[in-house]
Amino acid sequence: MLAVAGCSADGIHDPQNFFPGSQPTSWDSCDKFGATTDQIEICASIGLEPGEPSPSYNINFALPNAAHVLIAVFDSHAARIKILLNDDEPATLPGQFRNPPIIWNFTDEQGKPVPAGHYRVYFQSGDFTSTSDVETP
Amino acid sequence: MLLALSPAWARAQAPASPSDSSVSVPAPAPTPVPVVTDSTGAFPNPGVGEQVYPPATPPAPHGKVESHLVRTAEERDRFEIGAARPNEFFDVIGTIGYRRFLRYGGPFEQSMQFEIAGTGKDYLAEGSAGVYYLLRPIKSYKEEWKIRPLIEAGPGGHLTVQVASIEGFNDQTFHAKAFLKAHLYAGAEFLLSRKWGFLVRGRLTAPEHKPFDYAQAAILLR
Repeated sequence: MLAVAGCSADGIHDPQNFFPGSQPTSWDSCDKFGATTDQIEICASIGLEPGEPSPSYNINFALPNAAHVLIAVFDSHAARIKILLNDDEPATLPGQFRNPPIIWNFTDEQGKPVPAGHYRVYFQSGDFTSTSDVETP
Repeated sequence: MLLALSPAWARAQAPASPSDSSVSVPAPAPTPVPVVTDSTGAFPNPGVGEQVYPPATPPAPHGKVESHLVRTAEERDRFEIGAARPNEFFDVIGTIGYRRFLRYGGPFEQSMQFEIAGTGKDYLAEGSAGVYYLLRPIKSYKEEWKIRPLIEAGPGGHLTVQVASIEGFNDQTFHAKAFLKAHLYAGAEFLLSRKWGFLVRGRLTAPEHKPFDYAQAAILLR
């Protein structure tokens, strides 16, 4: 990404804004009938999960085969905020997503709420990598 | 004898002289003397063989004479190799600068400075290039001083490129941004010889959320 701007109150040597929140994502919605292909499928949305006190970012994915999955959240300066999942995952049942979904409750590794702003969630399993931008409330 | 034999011919050869009909040999022509009058209009009275020169023209009356403090631009070029501590994310930045004296203008000496810098911390690496147009008051130091205050100000353009490593994902992303800032430097130069020395200085920058954004130490090579 290349951005050129004029005067700015940004620091010359401050970490720059890598993820301004404009990254298109394929995680926008889940098919209500579940996963439909034999490929990795991911979908996510902000909502109130059962048992959660406040809205969260809920990530659903379907794995056709068992694999290692890494999901992490990065802030707009590309600093890693939190690892949501870093584990070997079994294959999901045909036509279904992982249950329960992976939940990011907008906190960092220490459990402190993150400032409102743009964040990017990375999903990686084997050679497959996908991202989704999130604007926290 | 000749005249007796041929008076008519002789008269024809002699210069006509109404008052002297006798034969005479013409006198050598006198050495020409420049006829010059001085400012009074009187003719000079040169002696024999003397060369006469016109008197020097008296200087015209003039008004106030102004003098300007101009230096010899003892350092047309210099290099600066140093390190800076930014008041931001990074801990230390390596810098290489090249300064070129431009001119004296009014009470300032004017210079261009080019600087490249590099740094890295954790997941982030940065390279930046800057060009500055700096004004330094001429009277802020004297050339014979070995320790000189360093006060200068001016605009600076910066192009900063950062590369972020996405930790755990074997991925990288980069971002470039241009800045136009105003800077004020204050510090001191220590000249250890005609060829080299070192400097320390701090920098104020606007617009900036941390106006004191930079402290630097560097070796000078002149």
